Amino acid sequence: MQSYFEIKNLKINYNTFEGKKNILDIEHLKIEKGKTYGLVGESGAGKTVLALTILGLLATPPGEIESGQIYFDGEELLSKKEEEMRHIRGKKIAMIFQDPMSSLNPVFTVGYQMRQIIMKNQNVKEKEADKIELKMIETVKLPDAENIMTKYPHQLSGGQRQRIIIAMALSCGAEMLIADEPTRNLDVTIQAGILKLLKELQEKLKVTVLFIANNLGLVSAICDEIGILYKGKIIESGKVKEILNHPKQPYTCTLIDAAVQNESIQQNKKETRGKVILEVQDLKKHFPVNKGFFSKPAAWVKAVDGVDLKLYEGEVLGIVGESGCGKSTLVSTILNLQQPTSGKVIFDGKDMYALDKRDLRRTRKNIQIVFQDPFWSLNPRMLVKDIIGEPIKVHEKNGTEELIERTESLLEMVGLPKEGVFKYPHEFSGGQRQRIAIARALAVNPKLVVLDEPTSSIDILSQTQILELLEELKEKLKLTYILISHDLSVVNSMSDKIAVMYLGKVVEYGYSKDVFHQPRHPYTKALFNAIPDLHMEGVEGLVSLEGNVPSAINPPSGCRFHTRCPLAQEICSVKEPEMVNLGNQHSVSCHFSEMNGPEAKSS
Amino acid sequence: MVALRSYILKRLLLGILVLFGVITITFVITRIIPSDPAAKWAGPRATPEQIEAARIELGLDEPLYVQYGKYIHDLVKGDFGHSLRSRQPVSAELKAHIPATIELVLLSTVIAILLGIPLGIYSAKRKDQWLDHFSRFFSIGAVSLPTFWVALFLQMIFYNILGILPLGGRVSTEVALLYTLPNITGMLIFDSLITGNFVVFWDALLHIILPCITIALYPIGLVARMTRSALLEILNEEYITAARSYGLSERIVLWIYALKNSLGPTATVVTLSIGYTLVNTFLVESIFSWPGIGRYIADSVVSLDYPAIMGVTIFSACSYVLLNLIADIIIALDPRIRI
Amino acid sequence: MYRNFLSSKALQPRIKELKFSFYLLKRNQLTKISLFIVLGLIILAIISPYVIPYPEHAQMGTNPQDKLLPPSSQYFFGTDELGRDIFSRVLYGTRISLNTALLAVGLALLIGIPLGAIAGSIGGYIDEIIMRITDIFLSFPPLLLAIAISSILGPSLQNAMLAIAISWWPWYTRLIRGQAISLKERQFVKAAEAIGTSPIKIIFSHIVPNCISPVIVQASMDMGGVILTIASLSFLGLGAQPPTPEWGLMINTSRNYFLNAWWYSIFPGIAIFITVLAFNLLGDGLREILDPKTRKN
Repeated sequence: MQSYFEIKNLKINYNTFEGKKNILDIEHLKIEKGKTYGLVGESGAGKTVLALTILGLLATPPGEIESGQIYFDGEELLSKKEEEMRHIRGKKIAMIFQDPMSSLNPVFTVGYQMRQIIMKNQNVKEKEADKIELKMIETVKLPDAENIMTKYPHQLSGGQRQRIIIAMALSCGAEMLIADEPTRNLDVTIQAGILKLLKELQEKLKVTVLFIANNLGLVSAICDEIGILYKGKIIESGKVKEILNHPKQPYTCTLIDAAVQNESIQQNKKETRGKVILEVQDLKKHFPVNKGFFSKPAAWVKAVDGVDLKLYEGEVLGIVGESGCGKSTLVSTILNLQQPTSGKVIFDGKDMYALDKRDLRRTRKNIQIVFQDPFWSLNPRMLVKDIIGEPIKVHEKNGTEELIERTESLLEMVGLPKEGVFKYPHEFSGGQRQRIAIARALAVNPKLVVLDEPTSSIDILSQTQILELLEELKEKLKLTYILISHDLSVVNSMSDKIAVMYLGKVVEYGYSKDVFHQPRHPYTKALFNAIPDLHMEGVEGLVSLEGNVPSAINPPSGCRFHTRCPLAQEICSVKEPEMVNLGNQHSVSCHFSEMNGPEAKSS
Repeated sequence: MVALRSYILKRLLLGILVLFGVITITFVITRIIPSDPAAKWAGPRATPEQIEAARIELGLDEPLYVQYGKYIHDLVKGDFGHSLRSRQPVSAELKAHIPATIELVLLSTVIAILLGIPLGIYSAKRKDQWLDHFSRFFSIGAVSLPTFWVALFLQMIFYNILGILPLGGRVSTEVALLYTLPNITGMLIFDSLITGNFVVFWDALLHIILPCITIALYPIGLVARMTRSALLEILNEEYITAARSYGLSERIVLWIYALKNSLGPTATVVTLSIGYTLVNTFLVESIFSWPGIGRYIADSVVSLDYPAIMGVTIFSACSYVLLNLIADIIIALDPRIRI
Repeated sequence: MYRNFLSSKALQPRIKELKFSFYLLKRNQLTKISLFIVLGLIILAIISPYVIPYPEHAQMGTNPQDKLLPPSSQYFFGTDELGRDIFSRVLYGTRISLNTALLAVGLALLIGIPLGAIAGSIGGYIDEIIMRITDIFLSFPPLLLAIAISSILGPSLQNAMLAIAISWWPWYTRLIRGQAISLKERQFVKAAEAIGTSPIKIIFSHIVPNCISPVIVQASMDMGGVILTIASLSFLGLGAQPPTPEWGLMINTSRNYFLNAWWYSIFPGIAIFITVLAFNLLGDGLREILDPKTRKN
């Protein structure tokens, strides 16, 4: 007897330059009707390929289905012709795509696009479709449905687009949903809301769901069963509780570790001593909007709006915040890659903005940066030796042979074989490329290294290795780090101090263990509680914030967070709170910081 | 809506700026003539005094910025100077020649679009099948043929060998003698249709076929290729896969979704093809004895009649700027650009 | 000796890249054929003065008693009104067309690439000014500007070459500027800024090498278009002047004898067609090969 949905012996290959590569090799996967199955694996082509194959949408020139069967409700899908598949698509199986920006047609309003789907799948005329559409938009908890219908995709926020995509998939009236990393590009606080919505819908509408994700935390909250995908194969599968409590494969264990919050690797964190190496005073960076050729700007994007920081030698400062909080702008302004609007930055005793060109160049030697994107942070047309050697060439005069020796030893220092200096970046994996970027940053012995989301774009296994490497290098070379990330576990495991940013300002600051275990600012609390924890039951414990991040052009009056704050009172919209020091360098900017008792994060 | 209006305004201003630039460049070109226009104007047997008088008459003795001002002033008034050959005002000669070219360009562009776009679309739909290969080869071949040679070749076949089409001109001499040719728009095909004179219509049609096909060949190839690549790019986008995943029929996906996405590239392509057809007329009108500005400029080039050459250049360039402006506005219908 | 060893090591990955390109090339039949044709044309251009049967006919020589003879075993393509062997002249014309086209495109690249790279990488006022000038040049319909400029400079092959270069550079500027603008935001450029590399070095060792391939493709496709333009200008009387055996010029002269001497018009035209076709196919194929999407797979 076949299950409702079952995959048998599915082998999918890709034809590449180096020959045929096997992408998927799934022996067995089954989902019972009405259940939710979570497929967890690295970010890579494999999972989306599976989703597309189920719907018969895999591009078959490069892709190739070598063998296998996919059974759905008694029918085998891979043997069906195109016209037959069209009856399955939408009506029976619908897909929630990963990136709502690219899966929505940019030249039609979302209302129009949804109408087409409804008219086709529910066989109704336009007027009727409009009514159904409004209901659908309300179902995904989007307020002001009539207005949303008239908007184009680029006029909506990321969270809104994601909900529209879900609404579109639902409006097909399908029995089965394939959700392909539906919260991939969303902020943590918004992600929580989407997860809650998905859980609710699943219970109400009793659809069968194949939920694809790259993070165990997400699936554990809403799935009944999970399967772990590693290198194209399902290495472990079963009920959620079983897998989490008794994992059998080492890879599964790594995934579990990565998803678990607040591990205190804090034991060896010492109180900071030593001198201040970097001081930021009331730094502001505003970008002009709509600047015509001769006209004055219509408005300003206040990306960074008054930030104060102090960084001690040997310390690791973690800066967290969601998209739009200004952390990347903060860093590029501190490094003087952009001119500040106002404020001061004192590095190693020198005023960064008062330096002349030559001194600035020399100072650059001491501050280096490792970027997020391992693919594009290295010039694809340069050999590794030139990439790593560039800072050496700029700041020191070296002969060619000496340069090669230095780059070779740098490469070995980050754990790569020295022959790599004569290769191109694309010959390395993401994690390895990030090591090259680190080697480049260390080439001229800087004092301060800024790490801008160093692990966000690489796979889980490499993430732990990179973090360990960074820790090791910090001790060995006596470095100071600024670590920016939206991934709280990364920040927590490495930082001595944490600064939480929201809409251009720092809202909370202090030692990691203080901020993490006793967050005082409502936003910090929301942030730390929005991530699904493996030990949580379901999604009720997740905290999601209502509304969207306000625009940085017109930040809310008074406390910027008051529009979404559960504790907001009248004073919050009138007066901006000061940074209050609660002791032991833990400062918060909230009117009610005294009253927020130590509410530790649940666990 | 406000955003659209301000966008159009911005493009208009830019267009005017560009027009100014075009005119300035033509001015600069005319002033670096190695040979002496005054001598040309005065004639081959002129005395030095006559040449000097000619210079003053042409205003060439004044300082450059004054000349520039006069140049602009004259242009705005519509005065393009006088042809060195005929001594007639260039503007009048242009007016006489333009309708014939417009007729040719219009018809050829319509043919180019009617043939090129469907070819591109079906080629994209059936990628790598025989239709695709055929049309790609045809397109590349079409843009590799020298237009003037095609003209001669077609004449050779259809006039010389087969004898079914005339050698040149807009109408045959008999027809021109027997009937008074209607002149409403200056375009014989339309005028004869409007007045119901089918003999003239048929005759004019026979005469326009060869020039049309010759000029349309390059744009057909271009349009087909660009349409194909634009469509292929769109069809590879994720939103098309998504639309398919929702169960929408291919008909809707292709003809409603993909087509609207391709409005922008299509507008560009149409503008380009008008530009190419126009330029092809320069090469081909003299071969077909077609009395348009193409023949006018070809003759002017041979005798180095600078005012005439510049007149045609300015007219063509300004028309092209206008066309591009219209194309830009159509592209602005893509909502992403307005914001 | 150590230097040699090193350079071979540095060469390895680049050789691998080249091998990859060749692999893609081999899979595309049409591109292979066009590559061979183009290579053949280049060789022909170089050796033609030495292999054509009547080299003097390609230059100043005339042969009035054999005028306007149809093709025969003595004169493969027949003779023209001055009795010159059309076959020799057509073959020699390869040399002229390719040479002039190469110079024109080369000059256009020399002007266009730096302008576009600077405009895109630096932005601001410089970008606006360069782009306005580029827009103005691009507002002329193709060929028109070349006609105007060469008629003003005076009809000659060199002036035609100059006129074409002046008309063509804006396309490359615009192309490179577009690439440079998107590359400017890439993290390796920001990394170079953070390192302290000077702006000029950033432009020419980081940005330009990464956007050169679309330009190469465009330039090789343009070779076809430029050859066509040279022929068109010569046809109008603005390019090559008699007795130069330029294809367009020959077709123009052949008009007078068109009804009686079909061979005179046909063969130069075929030569143009084959040459331009080969370059266009090659450019098309190169575009597919160098397209990063194809390479990723």
